[in-house]
Amino acid sequence: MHIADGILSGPVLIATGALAAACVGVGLAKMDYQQVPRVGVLSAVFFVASLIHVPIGPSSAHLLLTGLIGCLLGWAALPALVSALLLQAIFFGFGGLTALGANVLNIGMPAVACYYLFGRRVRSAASAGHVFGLAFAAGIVGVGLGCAMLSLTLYASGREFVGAIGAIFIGHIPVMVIEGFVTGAALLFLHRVRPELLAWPRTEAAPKE
Amino acid sequence: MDKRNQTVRISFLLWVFLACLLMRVGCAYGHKLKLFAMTEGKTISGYTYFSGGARPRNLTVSILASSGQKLGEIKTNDKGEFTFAAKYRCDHFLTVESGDGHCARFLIKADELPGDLPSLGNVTPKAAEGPAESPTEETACEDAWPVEMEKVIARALSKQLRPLREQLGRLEEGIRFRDVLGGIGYILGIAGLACYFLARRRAEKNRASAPSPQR
Repeated sequence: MHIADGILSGPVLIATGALAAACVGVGLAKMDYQQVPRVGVLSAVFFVASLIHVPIGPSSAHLLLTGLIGCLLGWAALPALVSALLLQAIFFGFGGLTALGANVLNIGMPAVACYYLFGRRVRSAASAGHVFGLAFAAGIVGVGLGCAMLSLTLYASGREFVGAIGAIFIGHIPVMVIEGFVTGAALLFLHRVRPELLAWPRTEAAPKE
Repeated sequence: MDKRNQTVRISFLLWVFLACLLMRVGCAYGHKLKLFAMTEGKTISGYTYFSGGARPRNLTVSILASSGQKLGEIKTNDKGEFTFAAKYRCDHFLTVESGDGHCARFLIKADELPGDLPSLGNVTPKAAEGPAESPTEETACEDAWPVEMEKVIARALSKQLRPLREQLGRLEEGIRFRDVLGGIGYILGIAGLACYFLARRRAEKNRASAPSPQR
């Protein structure tokens, strides 16, 4: 999922970089200071989780936790991802520094989509099964959208589209299933133990202060 | 009080989860395409691999000179390996790209190729410099050693050096525990800084609208 340096063409790099900067700006503007610890912790979780890779067939894959990050952070997922991806690029050479914008968008926009599609419904979900179902779907859709965006960015840089998208999707099917379970388990746990955490601190925790 | 306990418990569990992930990192490798190549006489042989060890098949390795001139293109076989017969004594830049956005590069320096190959025209200043730099050394060698002997030694050396170079390549790509810890530290530090500035801004805002304590 992390695009390396020297893959994308110049215009794509500039466009994705500018768009990513704008989206991160939106995320920062929407972020309240009470959310910062949560953003930091999830950023750390993403940083570590996407380092661990599992060999699958001729390739290998790693967790992304797009769905989980999106459901819990919404737009604030973008600042979280920028810091984690930047550090991965610097420390381990995962994804290129120049492709940082593209990588942030490819992982961050599906996360935001997951927030609108599932994250808000998880809050008002009545039963535990409902929560798990929504979170499972968020895990799958998060990775699926990420694959689609990755193929689109590659296509925009003049790479073959149909073959690539097939290979990328097939490679990520196990990831999708695992992400579904991980996201489901995490959100179900939060729902049972502390449902307020699923909501924005701004709306529910603020009055307590 | 009860709620506070729960928060503590949840954050504790989160950190335990992170710690468990970290334990796995100790033996894990990142997801990165790598390229390894070495010369043996005039042939450049090598393979591509994902840093976990999986070998991607059927990838195209393109070979360029430092001037950008294309020297050749080869596909990797079922084991991810390739061999290429060098025709010129010049820097060989090998690049390989997988379909999903990973790419890897490797440089074979002109010095690694045998001296009896022609240098790549006068187009590339580097290649032209290459033989000019050490003519005395080479002629001295040729006087003392028969050419055949030199070839045999080169072959034996390359055989001995190969595992060492492979190991070096693998060492480089391994994720180090301290880097991961450093990264987490950075993230927490950034979060702390953000907290500080946002809290300060909030305090200023509160001071500005002091009579209304609700917000």
